[in-house]
Amino acid sequence: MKLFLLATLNGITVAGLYFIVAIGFTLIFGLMRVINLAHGSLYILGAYIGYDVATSTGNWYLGLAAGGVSVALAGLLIQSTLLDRIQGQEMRQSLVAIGLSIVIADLLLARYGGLAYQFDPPAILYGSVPLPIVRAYPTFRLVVVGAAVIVGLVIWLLVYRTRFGIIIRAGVDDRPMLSALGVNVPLVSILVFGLGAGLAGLAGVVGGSALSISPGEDARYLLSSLVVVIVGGMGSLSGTAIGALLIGLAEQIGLAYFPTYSVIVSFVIMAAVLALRPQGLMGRPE
Amino acid sequence: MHFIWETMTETPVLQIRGLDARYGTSRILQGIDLTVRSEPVAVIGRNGMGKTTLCHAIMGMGPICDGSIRFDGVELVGRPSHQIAKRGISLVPQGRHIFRSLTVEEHLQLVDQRRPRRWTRDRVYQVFPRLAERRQSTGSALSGGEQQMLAVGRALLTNPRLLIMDEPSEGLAPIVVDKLVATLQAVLAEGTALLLIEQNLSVAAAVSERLAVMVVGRIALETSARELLADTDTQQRLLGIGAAAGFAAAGPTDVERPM
Ligand SMILES: Nc1ncnc2c1ncn2[C@@H]1O[C@H](COP(=O)(O)OP(=O)(O)OP(=O)(O)O)[C@@H](O)[C@H]1O
Ligand SMILES: [Mg+2]
Repeated sequence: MKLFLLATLNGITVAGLYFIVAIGFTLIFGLMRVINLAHGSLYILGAYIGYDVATSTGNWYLGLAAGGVSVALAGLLIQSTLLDRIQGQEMRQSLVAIGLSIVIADLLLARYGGLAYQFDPPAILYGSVPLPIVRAYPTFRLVVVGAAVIVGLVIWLLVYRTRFGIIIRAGVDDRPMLSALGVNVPLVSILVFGLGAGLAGLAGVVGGSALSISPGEDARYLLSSLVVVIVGGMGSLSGTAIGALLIGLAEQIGLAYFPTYSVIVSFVIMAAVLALRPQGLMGRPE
Repeated sequence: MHFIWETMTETPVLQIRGLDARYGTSRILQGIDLTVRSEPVAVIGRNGMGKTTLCHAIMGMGPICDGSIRFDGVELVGRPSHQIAKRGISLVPQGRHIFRSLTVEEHLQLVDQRRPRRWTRDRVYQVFPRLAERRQSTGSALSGGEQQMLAVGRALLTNPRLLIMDEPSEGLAPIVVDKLVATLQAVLAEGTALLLIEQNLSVAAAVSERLAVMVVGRIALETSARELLADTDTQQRLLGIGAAAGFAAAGPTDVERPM
């Protein structure tokens, strides 16, 4: 019982982290249809920048802000100079994004080496909370879940309750028509890319504090984002939440009960969803 | 005298000169000359003659263009679509292109400039009460007639100087078409310039006295509605119809087209 509860709590924590990364991916790939296979690199870039700023200033919140803002700016740059000019050419965009992620990974390896880094959030977020059955649980992991909920709400409000959100959804339905109504669609996709990248950067700082940062994490988070978006349904915010929860729980419960096979659990879920509901749980048929 | 003075010196709203347009290697428009002033112009022609391509060329929506398209004296060829729209041209596209996941209200919010202008959201709802009833319905849940009202309302709400409509009567019930014609006449009375694309000769004639007939990417004839309606030989030759009614009935069905 205790093991199950602990695995569930861990699953929800990991889901929270996956959600913050994947919601950015949903904005960029699911909605704007930019094949940003460098999304995992944006996560890890945010983590390292946050680490540097947090350790050198001694202020974790500054690190969080620096990770989010600088990766958002990097995202604006990447989309406006590289990916937007080949929008719609899927193979080229994939290759350019993969190339970019290799370059970023190598630069980070040169700068930080192959060791795992960890850095601590401020004292009030640290320590543990008493809980029944599992007795105590790290506070920061609960903070991650709270942060995911807040991010989810803010993005939902943006997409469903603002004019900018109307523009984003209209662009999903019919880009040429949106342009013909006077909307600068490339500019919109650059801004959305910046937002999604910023979320990946934020998630990097949060994830680096809750778990650790090391080379290879980029591929892990890209993969989890892809799986979450495919399971949840392209471009669906609620689908991203459900997908993240499903994948996070499956991964942690699998890890607790059958560690040898835990890696394939997410893929089994993905294959099952693709077989039964190819558009994803909350996606609409193309 | 007054008439001549006006047509000689007024800068045309839209002036197209020697326009060629192609998709890849297929040349669709060949040397189009067409001028729209304050009075409406209707372009008619059979399926596949290049009418929609002409609309897309003006709006900068895809075809590669040579030649000149001037709007209020400003060259449009080579500009991106959103800049052309911002200058004051609005398109009611063939197939309507309503955003399927947006509600009626969101369609109007999208283009509402929130400045006191001639067209406001309230006025669109006044002109099309049906849209007010369907305010919270998504685009995909609307009937064809409702979609067309929304497409027109959306275009008008941008307060365009020039309205381009690509076969607005296509696939609509006659009663809805009548309503549309009445709305168009009211819009025209306010001084909005109109380029109307139609297959339905009676609709074109009801809205516009000046007609241009397009045949395989060229303007084959510029004439008046009165003359063309009387001249069944020319109708037969350029439009392939015996009578206006037959022409209307031969129009394509209500299908979505790629833009
Ligand atoms: N995107 C495109 N790519 C290639 N060819 C196209 C494209 N759009 C149209 N065409 C071709 O251009 C020609 C003219 O098409 P267009 O849609 O302009 O005709 P139309 O006069 O509007 O016809 P309709 O009355 O059926 O709407 C057709 O032969 C069509 O196949
Ligand atoms: Mg057409």
